Amino acid sequence: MRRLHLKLGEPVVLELTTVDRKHGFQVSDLNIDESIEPGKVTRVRIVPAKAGTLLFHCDVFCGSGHEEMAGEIVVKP
Amino acid sequence: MNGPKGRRELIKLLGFGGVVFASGLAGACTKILRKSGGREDDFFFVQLSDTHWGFKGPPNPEAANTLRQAVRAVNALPQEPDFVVFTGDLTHTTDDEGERHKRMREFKAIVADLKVPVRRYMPGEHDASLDQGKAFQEHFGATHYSFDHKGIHFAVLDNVSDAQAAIGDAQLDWLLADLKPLPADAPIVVFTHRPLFDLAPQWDWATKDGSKAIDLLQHWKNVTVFYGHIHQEHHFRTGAIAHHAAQSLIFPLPAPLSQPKRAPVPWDPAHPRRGLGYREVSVDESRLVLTLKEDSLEGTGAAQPAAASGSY
Repeated sequence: MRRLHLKLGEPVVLELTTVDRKHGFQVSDLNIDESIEPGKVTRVRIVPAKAGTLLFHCDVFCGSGHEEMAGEIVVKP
Repeated sequence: MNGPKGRRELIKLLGFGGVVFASGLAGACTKILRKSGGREDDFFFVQLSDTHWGFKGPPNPEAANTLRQAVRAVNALPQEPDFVVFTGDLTHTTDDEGERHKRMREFKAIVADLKVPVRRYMPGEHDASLDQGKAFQEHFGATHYSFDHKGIHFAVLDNVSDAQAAIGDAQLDWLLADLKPLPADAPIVVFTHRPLFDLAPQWDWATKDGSKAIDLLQHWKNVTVFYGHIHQEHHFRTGAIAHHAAQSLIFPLPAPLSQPKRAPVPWDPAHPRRGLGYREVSVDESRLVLTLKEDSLEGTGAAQPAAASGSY
């Protein structure tokens, strides 16, 4: 599983791009729901407010392998 | 008509209203219900879901046979259902458009062996999200529609042709216009693929604008939703609306958020069809009590369905 490690309280900006087709980046627990379009950079700012593990996934059905496009954001103190 | 309708008396006693749990009584009653007071007899239909024709992989090494086994099992039911409904993901996704059409043709040829002549279809995201439902419509017809059957209004909602899992305002407007002539106590059954409520958005088990559909449906008192997508039996209520997910016919998935990753339950060679099955839904003469019977493909060679695990 893909993991993104963040530090509690330390803001980050994720730059998301796609080389094939439209995808999505959803973190339900943070109310983040962004589209990632070919040829564009999608920037997502996260300020980890509490320690723990959050799930993210692609929420645009993108074909074979879509179900594998998921991972965890691990926030540590 | 007898068979899956037998638990009605206990159901009424339990009195949860609409659809209730009545476990372990499968086959306890064979009372035949006859036409009375101008009403037609009880009837039942069968829900099959998530057949994923074309899937290949370790979660189901028998995938090339499972759909045929399900067809044989439904054909072997003691009585023929009034209709069968496939609640999406008829085929497994492929990026190859030609292969997508081929899988749909193959699926259609296999289910043509069902004895029941009336078959209702709707897409899942695997069928429709890559081409906005184009191939599906070519092979199976509209992705959303409604029909009436023996006093029940059925509405089929498409929450997959939009790859972002939205129903869309145009379809919601259609739904409202479709239901508007019905009285508030009309029995309504909704078929859809994804859950309309937020079952587990972290696993993509939700519909983006599902709350709009639920808000709309709340204006009617007797609404039941049958859906698929999550590859397991699941029951939930939002207000007066009952939501029932069906088992799949390809591989089971774990309980919502029960593990970090949404991954198929590993195939067990000792129980190769565990977690695979279909559902019989019987409707009593009032049209307000639905009884659910979950049938398993396990342990039978699928020539006959296994004993029911419970009913609602």
